[in-house]
Amino acid sequence: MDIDDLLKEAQNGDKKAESRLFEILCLRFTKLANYNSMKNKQDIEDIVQKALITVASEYKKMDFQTGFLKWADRIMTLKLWNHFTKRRRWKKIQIPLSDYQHEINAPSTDEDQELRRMILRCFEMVVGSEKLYANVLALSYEGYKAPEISQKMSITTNYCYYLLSIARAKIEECLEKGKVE
Amino acid sequence: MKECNDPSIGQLLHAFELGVLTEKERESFELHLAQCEYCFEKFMQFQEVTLQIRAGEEAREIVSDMAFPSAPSILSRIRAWLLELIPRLKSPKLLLAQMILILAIYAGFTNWLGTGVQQTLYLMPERGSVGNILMLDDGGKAEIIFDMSKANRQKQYLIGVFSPDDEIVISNVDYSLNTEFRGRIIGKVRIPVNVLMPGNYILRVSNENAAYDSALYEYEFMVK
Repeated sequence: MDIDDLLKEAQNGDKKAESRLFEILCLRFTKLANYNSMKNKQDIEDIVQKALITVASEYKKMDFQTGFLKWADRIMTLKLWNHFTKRRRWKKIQIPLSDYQHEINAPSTDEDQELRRMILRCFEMVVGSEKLYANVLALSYEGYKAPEISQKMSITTNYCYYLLSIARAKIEECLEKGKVE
Repeated sequence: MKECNDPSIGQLLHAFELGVLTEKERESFELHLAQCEYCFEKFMQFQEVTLQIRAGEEAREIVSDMAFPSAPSILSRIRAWLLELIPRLKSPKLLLAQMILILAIYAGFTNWLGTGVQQTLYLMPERGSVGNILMLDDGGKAEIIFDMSKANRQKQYLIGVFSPDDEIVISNVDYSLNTEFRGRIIGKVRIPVNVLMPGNYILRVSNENAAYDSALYEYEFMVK
């Protein structure tokens, strides 16, 4: 039985299929954690549990246009991201290339340096032209969340999100074209 | 996929990347990311940038040079320097002379810093002909005076600043109502223009219970 059949049966309430489906996911998520160099067994178990809980609470309502496994892997990827950033372990999350296209081939040291320089240059340009973005960032470095940042800056939270999305678009544009309009 | 399947949620992407969403928002945004091909791709491709912004020393330095909260202002640097200097001065005459000099420098700087607001606010005459800008103070606030001749002073009003695409930018603006000598009622608000990006905005006055839906007055203004 392939994964799609298993999913359909689990969605229709077959407990055995559901249990098998989650066994597969558990293994898959653990592999993804290992692939991203997680060593601590307890941490891996915690994150896998969190991802499985999210999948369990959502998968029956979903219409999987992009594929169930792809969706489930993304849930796990985002749990990993959250885990790493909360612990200030700053690393990129990767999904194995055999499944999707997200893995970025490790750039050479020179390319890496050049990319970093370019990111910084663009970041500096955008922060320089969008002082409010700098203010939001400075408050985020101090650990404030968007509602508190908005309150401190006397703006609405929606406007704060809008500012961030504009700044992000400008950084993207700069990385693409080498300048900010 | 070329577009986000829900742009109003997709707009939160950078807030998610920077870790400024609340726990509840983060959880629901994760579900969006997992479903939205477009946003997930953008998130994955931007990881290097996100990590540099969040963790890179250089990025933090750039921000502290440009932003207000964590960067010590010139004034506070002078203040810190003075506090360090004062205990070293032993002679009373010298101390007095130094104090006078210090106060002069301090006053000069305060005055100089007070003129540092860059944003300029213009009321567009075709919409709010009565409105005018009195001043921009050194906290970056602009005072706007506008016609409220239909106002009832016993009532409460709701005043907000909206972007041209009708997104609320500043809500519940504090206001005061004054009666001019000819009996006309005028409203007065102080808008923190230093938090607004350059562009056109609308100051909207509604009845308190109308929640901005039906505006009594609208004044368009521009931040340059």
